[in-house]
Order: sequence, then C-alpha cells, then structure tokens
Amino acid sequence: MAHNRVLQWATMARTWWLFDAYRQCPFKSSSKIAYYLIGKHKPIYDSLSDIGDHVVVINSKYISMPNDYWRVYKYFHHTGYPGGFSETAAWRLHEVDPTKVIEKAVYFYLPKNLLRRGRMRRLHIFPEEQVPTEILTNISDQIQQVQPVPKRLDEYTQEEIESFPKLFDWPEDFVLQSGFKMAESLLSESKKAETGGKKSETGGKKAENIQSGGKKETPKTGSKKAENLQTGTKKAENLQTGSKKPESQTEKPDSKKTGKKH
Amino acid sequence: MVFLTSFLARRLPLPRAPDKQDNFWRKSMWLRISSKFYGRKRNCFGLAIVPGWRALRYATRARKLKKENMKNLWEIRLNAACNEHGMDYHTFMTSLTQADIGLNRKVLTDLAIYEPRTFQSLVQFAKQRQLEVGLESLTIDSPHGIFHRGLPNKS
Repeated sequence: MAHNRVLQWATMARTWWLFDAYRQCPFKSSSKIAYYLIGKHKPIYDSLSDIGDHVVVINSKYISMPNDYWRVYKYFHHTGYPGGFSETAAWRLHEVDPTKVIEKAVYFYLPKNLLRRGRMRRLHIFPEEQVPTEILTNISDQIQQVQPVPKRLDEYTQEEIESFPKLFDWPEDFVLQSGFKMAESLLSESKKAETGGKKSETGGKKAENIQSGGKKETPKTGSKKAENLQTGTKKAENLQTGSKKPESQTEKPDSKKTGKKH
Repeated sequence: MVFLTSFLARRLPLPRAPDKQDNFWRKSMWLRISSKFYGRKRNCFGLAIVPGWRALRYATRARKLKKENMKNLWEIRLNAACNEHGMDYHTFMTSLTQADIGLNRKVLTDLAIYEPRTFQSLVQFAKQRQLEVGLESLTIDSPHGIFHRGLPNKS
C-alpha cells in the first residue's frame, strides 16, 4: 500500500524535464515545451488545474531558425507615444540575449490566461550546456528533440564520405554548374587570404588530394587546378578506378562554406 | 422559489384578483431563472426578462457544447495516457473498436487515472492486436509488478 501512495505522489508531483535546443527550430520546440508546461502529457490534465511540469532548456544559443527567419522574423514593440514603434530582427535579439527567442516563442504559444505567468516561471532556459547543480539534480527525464540534428559535411569522416552510396559516375566531359565553380574559386581565394604564403600552397594541395579521392598525383599550382575545374575535365584514370572524385568535389566546397559560416 | 409543501405555497402574498394571479406566476417563473444573476436583473422582472431569454439560449447551445468539450478533454487525457506507454491514441481506439471492446472515452479515461495497470493492459492488448494485424511492429512490455501464470514476464 505504501508503494501505491508513493505512486500517487509521483502523479501529483512536478517533474523536471530537460530539452536540448541544439539546432532545433524554436517554434516547433516551443509547442513541445508548452505541451509539458501545460501538463497535457498527464492523464489527469485539466485546462484550469495547475499541473504543469518544469522544463530546462539548454543550448538555446545554438537554435536554428527556418529559412531566413534570422533576418526576416521581427519582434515589435510600441511605447504608446507617437513615433514609439520599434522592431527588432530575430538575429539582433538573439545577439543581445540568446535565451529570448525561445522564451518568447513559448510565451506566445501558451494559452492566454492567468496561468501563463506561472507556467513561464517553470521554464528555465540556459544558453549553454552549463546548468546550475541545484537545477540539474531535479531533472529526471528528457524531452525528445523536434528535428534530427543536422551534421555538417566537415563533421563526416573520410570513410563515411567514401562509403556514401552513389548511383553513377559523372561522365568525362560533364561541365559542372557555373555557381559551383564560382563558389569553388571564391573559397580557394579566401583560403589563400586566410593562411597566406607557404601554408596556403600546402593547404591547397591537401584539398586537391582529398578532391582527387586520395590520389597522389596533384596539379602543381592553384591556377592549374582552377582551370581544371572550369573546364570540368577530369583525369580518366580517376574515373576508371571508380574513385569518389565527383562526389567529393561536389561535397567539399559546401563543407568549406559551412565551416566558414560557423 | 421553492415550495416544499402546498401549505408553504399558500403563504405567498398572492394578489387578490384571479387574473392578476396568472401574471404573478408568469413573472415568478422568469425570476426563478434569473435568481442567480448579478444586480437588479436578479429581482426586477422588467430587467430580468431579457437576460433570462438569453440564458435559455445559452443553455440550449451549451447542452451540445458540453458534450464536445468533454470529448475533447477525454481525448487529450487518453492521448497522454497512451503516450506514457508508447502508443498512439488513434491506433489504440481503432484496435479496441475492431476487437469489439465497447469502452467509451470516459470509462477509458477513468481507468487511466484511477486504474493505470488496467489501462496498461488494455494498451498492451492493442499493441498485441497491431502485431497480429501486421500493420506495425511494436515491442510489448508486460505491466510492472504483475505475474503471469502462463505467459513469460518480460519486464
């Protein structure tokens, strides 16, 4: 009997949940967080009873907005005086306080009644993974993330890239898109500018090595490499051996791009 | 306006003229409806009559709304109860219906709150049925703390 009584306590108790917001959409995750703050995950749910749980959100600094919402999505404010209107872009708000975007999203999602403030008080947001110990000790479970965490291309190992399924090899005389070429040339230039001097040459060579699927033969200069890319000609040997040259070529610039962004 | 006995009813200060008595009963009927209103519309017939009509209109509408609201509440609660056992609400209800288990949402919700083990066994039944039908491959755990006689106890 005693055990049953304890079970009942657990029903009425406020449990603490952990939500990892790393690369999660704040709007999607806010609906999920609000679900737990309201207490809709309990069979004893009622709209007027205050049975919500605590939610601890970590990594709120690393949320990812859909599309170009960082630039487009705006937060509005009006002081009430003439000319008192102001709007703040999401990226700006995130820069000022990395917890604000997800906090506002949850606040908007919660039902607009007298319980809203109390429910918001049970939401604990932290920009990084560090959580105070007194909060961390309360946490008993984790909320599933709303979307799979995407992996950057430079985070894949060479083995994974090589073992990626491929339907066909590019033909010898296949001309790649102009946009791709531009990105490639820009990246190579930027890389030169970053490293500079002797290092740049070695870096370039390394990249070429990777692009040619680990082949030993490398063009001597960067310019020659660029020519190769522009004309879109590739070594017949590479194709014959069935190396992953085209794939790696398509992937690599992207990875550089993303790396540059971050 | 409560008349427990005819004796008490006779104690009311009725008008003497019989034609005015009808008027008195008509007014008291509407005042009975407005007895819980706020302000003068509780007692003054002229003010009480229109809110009284409105209250009856609301009551008519609410008779339907109450059923819908309760259904929504039960569905939310059942969804939460099913999710606790890794089950989808719609799959759960469908498999119960197909198996001719005539438990409605209200009874299932009460089971989920007051008899969680019973509800868990129902969920387990639904999962087993899903396996047999072959639509989904679900893992089944037997309810915690229950000892089967013939079946192996996995958990």
